Amino acid sequence: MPIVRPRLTDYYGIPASQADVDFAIPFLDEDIPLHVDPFLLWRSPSLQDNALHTQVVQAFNNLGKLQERNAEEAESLLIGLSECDEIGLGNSHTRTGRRIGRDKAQDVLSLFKSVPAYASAGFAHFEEIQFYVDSIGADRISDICCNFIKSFLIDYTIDQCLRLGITTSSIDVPVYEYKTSRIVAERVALPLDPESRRPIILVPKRWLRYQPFLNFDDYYTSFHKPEDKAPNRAQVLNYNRHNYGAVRSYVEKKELERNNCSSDPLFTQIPITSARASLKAIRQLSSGTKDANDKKYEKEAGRLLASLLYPQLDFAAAQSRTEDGVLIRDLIFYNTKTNSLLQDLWDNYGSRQIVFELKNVREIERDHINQLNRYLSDNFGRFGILLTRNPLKAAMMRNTTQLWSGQRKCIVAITDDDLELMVNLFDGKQRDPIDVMNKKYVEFLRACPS
Amino acid sequence: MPLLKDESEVEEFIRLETQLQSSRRELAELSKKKPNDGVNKFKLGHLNTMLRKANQILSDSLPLEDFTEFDVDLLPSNSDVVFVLAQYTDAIYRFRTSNTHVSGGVTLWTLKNSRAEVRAGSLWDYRYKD
Repeated sequence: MPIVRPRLTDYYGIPASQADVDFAIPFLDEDIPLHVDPFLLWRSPSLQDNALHTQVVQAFNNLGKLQERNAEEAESLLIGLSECDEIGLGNSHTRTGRRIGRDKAQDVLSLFKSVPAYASAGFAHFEEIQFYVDSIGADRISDICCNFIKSFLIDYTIDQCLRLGITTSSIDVPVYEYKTSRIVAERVALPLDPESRRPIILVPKRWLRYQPFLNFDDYYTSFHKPEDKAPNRAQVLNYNRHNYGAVRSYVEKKELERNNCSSDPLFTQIPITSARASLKAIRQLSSGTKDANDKKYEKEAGRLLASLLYPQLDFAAAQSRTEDGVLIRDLIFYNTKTNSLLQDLWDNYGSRQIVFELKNVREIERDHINQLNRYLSDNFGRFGILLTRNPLKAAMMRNTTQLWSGQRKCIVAITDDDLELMVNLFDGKQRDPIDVMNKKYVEFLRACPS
Repeated sequence: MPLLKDESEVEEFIRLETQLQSSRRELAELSKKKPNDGVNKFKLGHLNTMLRKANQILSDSLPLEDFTEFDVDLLPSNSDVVFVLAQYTDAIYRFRTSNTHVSGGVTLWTLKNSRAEVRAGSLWDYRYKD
């Protein structure tokens, strides 16, 4: 069975937790819904980040000069820079994006002529183009920025791969060359997507945001006064072309607010009040499928466990499958081997991912255990958790211990009471909520025949 | 009850007695606010060290059957720990009362290998107080 929602590190069997690595761990079959924000490079205390920002802006302004000499070449270059599939950031479900068209490139490059300030001094923040040209958003800004600093990102990726032991292969990658202002193919050692054999480039987490700090929606809010009739996007874009001062004053204001600009985390734990609310919602749910209670249980349990088990376990996916006509819901977590329990599950049960099978039933029956038992194989290894409402009855407990005796498979039940203990630990911060999982595992082992 | 051997064992006993009482006091405070909260591994490690010393002193008069120390894996809560520490501070106090005697109006330790007169102070002063 393939890994559910595979990440680069999981494919190579490297149990890295997202919290522990410097880069955003890329998914192999979809993009990470974050973007590189050039403003973060500009406001960073690191001289290296500032220098990279300067390079990006200079290279972008160079497009204006190139356009004067050879408009077609400048357009082609911008088109080539407008998509960066190797990075895997954005909203694509396939890790492949589309470049801008020639018309759009002409629109962008026309700013070097139509806005006198850019004609004379160029851009200070190239993401300002989104205030003049339609369909330029966070994704495009991020891709253009990444293409300009791709050479640096390749070195960064090689360094991170060496540190973690991720296998790399030699491959030709298009890279922007500053000396010639061209995109040239360079042979470099990068990790590859195991199926598509496409190269993967890693990006530091500290540069990522869901929306750039300078973004159209924010600009629109500051631009439009509530008492005015709301202008449409095209009107605002057109207004900006003839009123550079409006954009300049917005950017100056944002520059002064630079201390408010920080990177967005890849995962945010829910606050304790929300955790308590989720627990309460679960406690109040009656067992069974009536009123879609099983779906509600899945929603609340998924939300709760993803936060309670972070950062030791990274949440991978919630998924459904049908077995013998019964809909079964699972929560899957990446095993990061970050504590002794997870190490044990990896080493002794072969669990590269950990599956929580959700059973919103009053009582666990033999069939429920058998369903999970059949599911435990390959990547899930021989360890699984039944997330259910009440403790197992003695006969079912005996059933699980017999599974351990006969097949060395470990099925542990986590109940509402255990969830409550996890929430208490999450609140108290004296122990990690994952210690409850360890407690249940230890109790299970002690119940097994020696 | 077994006897302490000499002055150095008395010193060690007093140190342990003080530690157990202060731990009980601190954990009781925590337990009032959050009885079901887990006790962290650092505290459990130190509590277990104290309990091992207490078990040595109390030897066959352990206060709880089938319990010698906390299992870190089983996530003892604040109230669990207070319960155990209460049993141990009481047992240690009983040990003190059984191993001291009054001579000439002064409370002294009854020692196994020493005839030295080691003052034990007033028993009341060593009783656990909240």
